[in-house]
Amino acid sequence: MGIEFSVSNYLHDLYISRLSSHPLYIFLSLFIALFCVIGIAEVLIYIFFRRGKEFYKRKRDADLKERIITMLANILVFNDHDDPKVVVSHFLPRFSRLPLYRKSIRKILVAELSNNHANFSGRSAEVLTELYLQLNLDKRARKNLNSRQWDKQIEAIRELTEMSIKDECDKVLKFTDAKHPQLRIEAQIAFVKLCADNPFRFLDTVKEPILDWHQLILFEVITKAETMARPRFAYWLNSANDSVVSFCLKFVEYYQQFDALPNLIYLLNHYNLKIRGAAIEILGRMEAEMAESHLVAVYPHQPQKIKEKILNTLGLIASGGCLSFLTSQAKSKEFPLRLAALRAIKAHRKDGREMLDTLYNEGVLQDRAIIKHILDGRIKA
Amino acid sequence: MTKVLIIEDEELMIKALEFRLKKDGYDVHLARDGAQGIEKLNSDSFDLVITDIMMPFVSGLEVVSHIKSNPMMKETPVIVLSSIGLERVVMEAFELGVDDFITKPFNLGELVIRVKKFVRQKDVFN
Repeated sequence: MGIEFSVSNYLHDLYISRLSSHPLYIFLSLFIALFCVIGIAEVLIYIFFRRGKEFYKRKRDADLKERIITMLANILVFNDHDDPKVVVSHFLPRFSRLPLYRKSIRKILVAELSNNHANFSGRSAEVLTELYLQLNLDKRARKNLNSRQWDKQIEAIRELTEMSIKDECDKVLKFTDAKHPQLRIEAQIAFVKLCADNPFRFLDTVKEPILDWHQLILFEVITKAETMARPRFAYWLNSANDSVVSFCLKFVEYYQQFDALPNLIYLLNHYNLKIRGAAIEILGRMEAEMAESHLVAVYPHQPQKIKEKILNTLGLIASGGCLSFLTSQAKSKEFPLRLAALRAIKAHRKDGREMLDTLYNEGVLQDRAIIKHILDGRIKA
Repeated sequence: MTKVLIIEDEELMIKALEFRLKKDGYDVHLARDGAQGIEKLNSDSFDLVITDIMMPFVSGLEVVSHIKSNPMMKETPVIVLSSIGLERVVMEAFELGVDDFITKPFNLGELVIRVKKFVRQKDVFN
C-alpha cells in the first residue's frame, strides 16, 4: 500500500505540481511517455476484447457446427427408397432456422455439405445436393462465377463441382481456356467431372496450353473416374494446340487405342520435336509393326535425339523387318546412335544375337568392346 | 444386441453411421481415432468393427493388424472404409485379414446390407 501511495504521489508531483517548472525537453518527454503508456494500455485492452470475442465466436461456431453435423447425419438416416426431394422438404424447416444470413454459418454448412458429398454416393449424395439447392446455398457460388477475382471463381467452381451442380457446365467451359493457369486447371477438372456426357469437349476449344502439371492432375482425375466414357483420343492428335496433342498422346497409350496408330504415324512429321519424340516412343511401347517402314523413312532427316528414339522404338517393335537397317546404323559414326542400334538389334532375341555375333567377328577392336558391353546382361540400358 | 465399433475421424461420417446402425437396432460404440479404437477393443468385445484407414495417431490398418493378431478378437469381422482405393492399400488390407473393403464414396444403404451379412454369418457360425 505504501509503495502504491508513493508511486501515485510521485506521478502527481511529476505531472501536476512540478510540470511548469520542468525544462521543455523534460516536459515533452513526459508527455510522450504518458502517450505511450496510454497507447499500450489501449492496445492491450483491444487485444483482450478481440481475443474474447474471437473465443466466443469460435465456441459459438463450434456449437453450431456440431448442431449442423447432427442435423446432416439425421437427414442421411432415411429410408433408401424415399425421394430425396421429399426427405429434404421434411427436414428443411429445421435447416431454415439456422442463422444462414451469417457468413460463417453458411460457410460451415457449405463446407460440411461439400466435404461429405464426396464421401457418399447414391441417395445420400443426392439428398445432400438437394438440401444445398433447396437452401439456396448455390446462389452465392453461381454469382461468384461472374466475379472478377479468380480466387472467388475457383472457389465457386470447386463448390459447384463438389455438389455435382451440372447445369453450370457451359459457364465452366468458358473458364477452361482462361488466361489464369490455376483457374484454367480448376475449370478443366470441374468440366471433366461435371459434364459426363461429353467431358472432353473443352479440348476442342482450348487455346491456352495445358501445362505439364495440369496434364498430370487431369490424367489422374480422368483415369480414376470409373464411370466416364473414354473417347477416341486420336481425334485431337491433329489439334493446333500442341499441349492438347501431347495430353491426348498419353491417353492413346494408357488406353491402348490401336486405332490411333495412323494418327501417331502422321505425327512423325510434326514440327514440334517433343511431340514427334513422344509419338515415336508410344509407337514403340504399343509395338506398332505397321510404323516400322515409316520410322525408317523419316530417319535420315531427324536430329540425333529423334534418331536415337527411332532406333529404340525399332528395338521395342523388333519384328525383324528392320534388322538390315539397324545393322547399317550400328556402323554409324555417332557413338549414341551406334549404341542404340546395337541395343535394338539385341532386342531381336535369337536373330539379333546372331547378327551381333556376326558384327563382333567382322568388327574392329572398338566395335567388339561395344558389342561386349551390349551383351553383358549385368549392364542395364 | 449386436455390438458394432465404428472407428472414424470424420464427424459427419461417424454420426451418420451411428444413427443409421442404431436405427437398425445395433449397439453402436464410437472411437474418433485409431488409438481410441484400440483402447476400446482392449476393454470390450465387439461383434463387428468398421474402421477408416486414414486417421490421426494410429491408422486403420494398424487397428486391423491389432485385431487380427490378437487370438481373442481375430474372429471379429472388420469392414474398412477408405477414400484411398489404391490397389496396394486394398491388397495390404486384405493381407492383414480385413473381411470387406469399401471405397468412399459409398452408399450408406449398401454398408448396412454388408453389416447385416456379417452379423448373419456370425450368427450362423455361432
